[in-house]
Amino acid sequence: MMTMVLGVFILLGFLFFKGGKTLGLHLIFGSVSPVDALLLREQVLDGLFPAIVGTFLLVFCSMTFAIPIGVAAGIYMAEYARGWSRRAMSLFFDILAGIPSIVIGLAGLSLAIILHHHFSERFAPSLLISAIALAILVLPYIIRTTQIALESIDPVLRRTAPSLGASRLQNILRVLLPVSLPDILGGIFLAIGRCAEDTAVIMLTGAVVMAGIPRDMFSQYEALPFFIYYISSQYSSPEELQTGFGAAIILLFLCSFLLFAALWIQKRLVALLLYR
Amino acid sequence: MNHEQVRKIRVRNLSFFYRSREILSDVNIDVMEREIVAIAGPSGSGKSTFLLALNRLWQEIEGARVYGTVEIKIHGEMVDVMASDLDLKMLRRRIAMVFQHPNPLPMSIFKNMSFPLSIAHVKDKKFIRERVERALRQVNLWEEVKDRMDHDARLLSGGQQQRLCLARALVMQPEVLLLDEPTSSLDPKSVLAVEKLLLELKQECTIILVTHYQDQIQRIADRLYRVTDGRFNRAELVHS
Repeated sequence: MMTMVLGVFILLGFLFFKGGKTLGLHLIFGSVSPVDALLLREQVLDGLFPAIVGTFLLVFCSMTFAIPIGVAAGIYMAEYARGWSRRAMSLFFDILAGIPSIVIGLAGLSLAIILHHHFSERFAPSLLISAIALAILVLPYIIRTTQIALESIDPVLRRTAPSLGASRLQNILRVLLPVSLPDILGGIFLAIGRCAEDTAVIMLTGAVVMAGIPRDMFSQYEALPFFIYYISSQYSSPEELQTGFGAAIILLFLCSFLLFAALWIQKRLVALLLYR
Repeated sequence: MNHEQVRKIRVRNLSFFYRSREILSDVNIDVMEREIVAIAGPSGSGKSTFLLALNRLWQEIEGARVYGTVEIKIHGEMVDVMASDLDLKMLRRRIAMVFQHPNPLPMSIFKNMSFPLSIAHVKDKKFIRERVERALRQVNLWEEVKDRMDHDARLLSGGQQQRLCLARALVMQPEVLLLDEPTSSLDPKSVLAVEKLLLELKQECTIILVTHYQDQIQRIADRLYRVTDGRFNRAELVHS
């Protein structure tokens, strides 16, 4: 435990040592005034602002796809699936969890090409395709944590609501899900972190170095992990590499913000569902 | 059988299996309206399992199978509990159950109490408040919790939780009350209060009480069955 804490502090110390000096409004907004950038009056070309917005949008869109499908599939696995279908789906989700992210990225790219050819030319590597691919990548986490959270509920508590006349769906929605919400959100936190940091998927499905803030779901976009990957592999000066470390610190802050936001939502949701 | 008594529950050839193990074997009993039937026997003999057969809660247990006939008079008509098209929600609202260990839902006291009404889509808030207060008063819990109805029910003491669960079962004003050792976690004073309540409730509903306490059986039961290895045998009550 102490070793892990020490490891985290060493990592943070290293990042701040390397990139701390670059931290500031200039790193985020470049030469554009923060107000103009935030109000989208002027495009930021030499700062991380578009990549931060892109990362937020990417996480938001992929979780919008992944959470309902993942939680619903987890509920199905825990409460409805029985026999061979349950075993088959378990195997399928285990295989899905083991697929390398670069393969998911390739699948996303193929999906974009197929949609482009058969449906509309608007389909291309974009925020939408990246969000779908990332959602597929994190689905097994959400499904498994939902399933395990529901299956680990005390059998007496599980039978309480039915004994009072609740239907199976009422039991799931009003008792089992609220009770297991903290555990389910644990899986969602992991998924959010994975979406925010994954590079292999987005580099094939829509992330680029210079795109500005995406206009819609069919636009290409910038993202912090891709920026970090690009800078660290193609930097032309030590100052540029320092910018990459600065971006890594901002990505850590962004993930921490998302984590605390999710914790706050969890607390509010549990209070709302169970005590109001 | 007393001619004035009306049959409430009829059980014939009831057998209960959990996976390949037989828990109940060929049970045949009748329960009359407005009586307290006590079921006693050693642990693991099938007493609690019998209660699960009456409200079909066994269906919630994977690997459980039940054979035989169970009929219960609900709304004045005998209902086949084993029928595949039976409305289980209605059945369980009319046949309330209190488990051996207190099982408050992880919600506020008020939400616990109003839960059976809210899942039955009762919307009238005044009606709900009245029902909740009445049930809590019946179990002598109202004065203890009336100022903290929004507190987590799991923070109540064990005895209070058990009385809360009993009150929650009463909130729907059931026709049959299944009680699985309801006084096992109560202090002597609360035990006597619950027994007094059961004698009062007997006027409006039928009670099946699983208990280990011989003195309790003598105090409140009208009929006694002893269970041994899943077999029910009528036993004589010895009133002092």
